[in-house]
Amino acid sequence: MFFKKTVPFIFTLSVGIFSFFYYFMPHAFMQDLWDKASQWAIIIGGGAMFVGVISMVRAYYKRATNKSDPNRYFAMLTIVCFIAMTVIGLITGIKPGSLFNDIFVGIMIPCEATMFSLLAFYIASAAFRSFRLKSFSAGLLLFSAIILMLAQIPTGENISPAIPWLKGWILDYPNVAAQRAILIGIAIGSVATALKIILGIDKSIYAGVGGK
Amino acid sequence: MKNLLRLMVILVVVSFAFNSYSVNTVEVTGKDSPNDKGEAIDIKWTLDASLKTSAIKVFVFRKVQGEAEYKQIKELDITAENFNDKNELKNNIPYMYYLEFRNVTGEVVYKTNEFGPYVAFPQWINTDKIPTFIFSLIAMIVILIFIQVAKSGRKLYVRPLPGVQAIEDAVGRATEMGKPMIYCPGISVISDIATLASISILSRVSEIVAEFGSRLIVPNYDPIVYSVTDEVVKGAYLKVGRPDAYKADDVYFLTQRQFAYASGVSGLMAREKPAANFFLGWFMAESLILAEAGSMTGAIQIAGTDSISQIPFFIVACDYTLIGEELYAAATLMGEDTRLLGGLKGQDYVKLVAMILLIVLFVLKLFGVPGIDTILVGGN
Repeated sequence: MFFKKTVPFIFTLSVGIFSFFYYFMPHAFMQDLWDKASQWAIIIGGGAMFVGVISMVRAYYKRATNKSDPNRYFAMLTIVCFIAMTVIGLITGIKPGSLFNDIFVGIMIPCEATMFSLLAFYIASAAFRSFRLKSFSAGLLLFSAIILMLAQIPTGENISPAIPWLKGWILDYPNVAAQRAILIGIAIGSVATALKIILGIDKSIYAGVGGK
Repeated sequence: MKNLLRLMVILVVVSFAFNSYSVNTVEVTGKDSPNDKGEAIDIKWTLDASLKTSAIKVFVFRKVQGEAEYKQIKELDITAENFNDKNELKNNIPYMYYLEFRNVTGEVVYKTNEFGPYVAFPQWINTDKIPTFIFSLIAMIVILIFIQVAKSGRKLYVRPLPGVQAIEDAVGRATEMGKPMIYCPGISVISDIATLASISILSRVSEIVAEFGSRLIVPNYDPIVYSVTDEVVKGAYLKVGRPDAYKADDVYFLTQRQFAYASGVSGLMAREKPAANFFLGWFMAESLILAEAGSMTGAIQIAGTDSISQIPFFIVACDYTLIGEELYAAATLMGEDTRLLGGLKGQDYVKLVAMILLIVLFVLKLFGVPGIDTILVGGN
């Protein structure tokens, strides 16, 4: 338990106290320490990526070799793509003009853009569900949405110049007030959560201690 | 006639001299840049109106005091009236400056005398952040007091959150249906408070899952977060005495590309048809893709994030949403640790202090008391 509980606690406490004072102390001594710690984080991140890739390959390999799984072909495709990209990247490099970069720009980025563009349809379906007039709150939401949508198009101003003004008012006052209230709560919640973790009161994030 | 010509020449010379030295005047000041690690000097100047029209560029020259030659370190437009010199400056060394003002043809219209010396040095305390420091200290003291109160055995009431109760119900529902659950810890890094809060909730959820003997799938976006979630879930199974039931393949690293992650999790939901989806952590544009894809599978969905722009998407697409700080409180409300509950209660009182402070400052602002804006929005 010493390495699973005490050592992480000592590290968390010392790094937590340092990070707190770093925010208020601009001295070069603190800055240099922070820069060094950031470099360590990059190195740890690189190592963790290796662990992550092993985990991904292991999970997909088991799925690909599970003959009772009808979706195993997706897992096979993932592994084939992973190996192909790794080999191509090692042989051709990853600079612009390389085969790796061409595949990335020609296949990966359009696929991601496709996923992103799905948002438009999802927004429409989510809006349809949430704008149904079921209660007073839903009515307020519907009213605000109509005003905002009308103000976005020239028709809104043609109907009444009050519509763009109302849109501005909704966005600048009730919307900002609600967002700031949430933000203040988040800021105070962050302090409390960080304090509980730094002082070891909440140890649930320490690996292998199961919340105690 | 000769005398008249001499007089005219003298008049012209005097008039030029008058224009050069009394019309084109520049006042210069300099000092160490405040609240930094040193290695910077602020220079300010005020220009005469005529210089603003005759010159188009300002050139800043610098040398170490005692050295012979100046070096040009910056070229600025004539509109500039200050310069923060961070150009290879060293601390505790005196620097001298002068400015040159040049016209459109590059001719020097005006040149200041050398000024200085100015010395850059680091500060230990950022005075702009003192109000933040004081409020942070107050917040910490209040929270620690309530943790002590809770430890002493006094009962503290914290309003229950429907979303938290729903998490436990969702696990029970999934067990009864014999279907798995999917838990997304967000797409942020381990140092993010939302990710840490999500891992705390995952710790409690996986304990219940381990007890009930159901299945929890945790696809991860960040490899470091994956390493932690893997250990946390494993630890939960160990804690309830069922280490054999833990499946290492159910907690895995998926990808570190945002929309590839959204695609992967959406595909996972379509294939596995989970009974419950948890989206707890920090999300960006993929939040609605995940929540809508999950909604189509008919799963009960519980989301929680402190990403303000994504909260509306989760509210419309999920059954329960933990808004902002509720995400941080969820793990505490799921457990029985009195110290954590004390911390939560303390957090509520800090909020009360913040609210009172804001109201007082608002009233003072209404009465026109000066300096309130500076307190509210920071030192600048």
